[in-house]
Amino acid sequence: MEAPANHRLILEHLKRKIPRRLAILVNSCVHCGLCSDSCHYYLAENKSRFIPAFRTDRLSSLFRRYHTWLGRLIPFWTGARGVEELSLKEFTDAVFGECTMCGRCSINCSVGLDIGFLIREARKILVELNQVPRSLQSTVDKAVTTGNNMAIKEEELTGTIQWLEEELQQEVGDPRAKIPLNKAGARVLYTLNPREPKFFPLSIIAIAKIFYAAGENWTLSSTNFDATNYAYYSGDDQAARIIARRLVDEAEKLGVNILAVTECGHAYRSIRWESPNWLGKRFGFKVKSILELIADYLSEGRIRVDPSANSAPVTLHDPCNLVRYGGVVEVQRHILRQAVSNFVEMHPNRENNYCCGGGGGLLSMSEYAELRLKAGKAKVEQIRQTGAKVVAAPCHNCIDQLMELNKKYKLGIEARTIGEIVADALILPSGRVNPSTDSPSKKG
Amino acid sequence: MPFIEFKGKKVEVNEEGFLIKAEDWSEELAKVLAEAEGIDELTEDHWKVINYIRQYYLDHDIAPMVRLLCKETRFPLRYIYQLFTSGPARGACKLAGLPKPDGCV
Amino acid sequence: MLPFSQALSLGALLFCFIALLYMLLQVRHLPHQRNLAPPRGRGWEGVVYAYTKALLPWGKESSTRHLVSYLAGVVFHLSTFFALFLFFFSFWLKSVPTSLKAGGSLALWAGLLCGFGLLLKRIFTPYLRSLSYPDDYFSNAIVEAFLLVCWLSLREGEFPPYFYFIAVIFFLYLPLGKLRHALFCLYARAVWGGFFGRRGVLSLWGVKRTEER
Repeated sequence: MEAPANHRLILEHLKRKIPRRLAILVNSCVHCGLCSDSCHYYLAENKSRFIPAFRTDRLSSLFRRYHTWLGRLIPFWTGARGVEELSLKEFTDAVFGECTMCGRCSINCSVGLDIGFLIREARKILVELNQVPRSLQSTVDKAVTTGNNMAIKEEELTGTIQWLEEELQQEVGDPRAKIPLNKAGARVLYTLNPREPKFFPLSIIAIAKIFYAAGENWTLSSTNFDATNYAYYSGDDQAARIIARRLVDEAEKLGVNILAVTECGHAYRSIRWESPNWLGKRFGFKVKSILELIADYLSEGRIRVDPSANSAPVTLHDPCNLVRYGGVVEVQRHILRQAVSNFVEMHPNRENNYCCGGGGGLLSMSEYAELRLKAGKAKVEQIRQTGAKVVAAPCHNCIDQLMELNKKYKLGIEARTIGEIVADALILPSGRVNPSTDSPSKKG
Repeated sequence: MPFIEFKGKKVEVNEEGFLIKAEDWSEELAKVLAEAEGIDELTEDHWKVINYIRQYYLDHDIAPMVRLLCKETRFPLRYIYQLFTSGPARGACKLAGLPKPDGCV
Repeated sequence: MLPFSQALSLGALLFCFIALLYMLLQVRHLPHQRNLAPPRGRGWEGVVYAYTKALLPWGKESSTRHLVSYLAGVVFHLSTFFALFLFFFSFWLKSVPTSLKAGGSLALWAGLLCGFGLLLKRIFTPYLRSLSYPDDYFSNAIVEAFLLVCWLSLREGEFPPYFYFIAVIFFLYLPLGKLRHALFCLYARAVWGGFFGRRGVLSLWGVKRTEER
């Protein structure tokens, strides 16, 4: 039993905020159960509450109670449940703690329902009830109030970038190598996951090195650098809008052609696919994953790589929001085939790949940490079977989860970004180009 | 809320072993946390990192940027990753008694 | 003049159509977010995919893993379509041509067996039982009853009143319970295909699209 105020909010939501796509979906599930073993939670824990259809039924049953004839007249017949029967704890656990919204079940649904979408719609209700797990909510709040989800101050970022620039200059042996900040008229605005400047800056140096070698005209923003959007995870569209608008404004202010997103699955998905809808407008610039740029540099011959620099067997993890929901599927393979000498696919892969278990905001939700690590079993098995020593994971979130799985299951692997792998193999041009020659012809 | 037994007292931690109250921290407790992290012995270098993070947190209420950590300890970045294999956030910050940082960690 | 049972069944069919249409209009009335992000792939390609490749037994991992259930489901559905065809056909011909008898009976029996098998699976598999409500069992049962009377009619060589009475229940129940997926699945499937096709995840020719430079 929950407070009547909550009941009212839920009823109000069900009455006014059910989008068309959701209604179609909840009217279509036939409870065939074929989705069961497409879910990494169910594979790891074999409990019926981990079956995607069971999970979605928590919302569908509410819908049936108030939106279908039989549900109103004889609720037990169709399993329709009213708000008074709802346990908020179970509902929250089901949609936040026991689902990474990876969409593997969506791809495998025998009918063709986007279950990941439904789960986010369920999360939206919990946003209104203030039931988002605390740790996830506080990451969203940080982003909204401070401009990035780790509360990095502008001077902290610029200090870090200067330091990284010195490192870069040493590595490439060129004092003119730069990491440009707030450069108007650059072709590419590169955006980061705050954990990079805060704790893991090697991936920034790697990308800077690639940009340097390609002679790209690029820039970082010292204030609006955060590519992530945890409000996508929490289901809070209002916050998502605030966060997304900053990036769009920044790209427009600097007048760039391309907003390039760091190796981060949900960030790419949010800004590439969801933000135009959140903000209700089409962007005047392109949104690309940094992987797409790297692949372009390789095929245009703007950078060259020596695969022998990466001789250990490398496998590839497909982040859900980048691949299954983002459509960036082949470029990472294209890159790895050139940058490493022993590339092994894991199976299944691409849109059928298993979630690492850390998606959907789960990595930040300590509340569900234990289950998250159990749910990573499918991924662990996949990796084991490849015999790879390095797992290339174009998503910082996945990398953290993979590192934890590595520790818990003693995989003996290293999880790395693709940028780092490419940077290691980079052949720097002998007669070095000056990366700061940004003739207008390079733009566009 | 989960807890760890320490000197006959219960110390509250979150589900991932981060302290709930930073003031519960002590050097002895850090050693217990290190064991859970799979670090058998805390060397002088470990302590240098831990103490810096701890002090910075007490002064600023947030973990330091890894740049400051490198600068103050004079350790190269890669060495810090070697010392704390779970990384600065899940490794070093945890041992320094900080609550789990927000964001993608 | 139509016999009473036939008239009644047509009435039920009309109710079924109107109810489904009403539900469809209701759904169309709900808020809808247009996609403003530029597409990577082609939406229509995804829709075609959803209705072709995705339907193949090896089209999805879930259908391959549960091949028997999946094929049983396919047969059950095809058989139901055939029974519906017979229903319409029955208004034109009073007796069943012999040419249809043998093949038709086989199709209906196949459907009955598969449907019954799925019903048993639903009853006896714990995880599936946990997903099921009376509606799920009843929906299966009413379709099977319809298949059964169809078969009986074929055997008799004519369509007796009980055939139409069962059809009445079938048509009246269809929009109420989960059988309404007959309409919504078609819609959902197209939405699914359009969504993933647009994002360049589903592609008919197995080549994932990369974006222009």
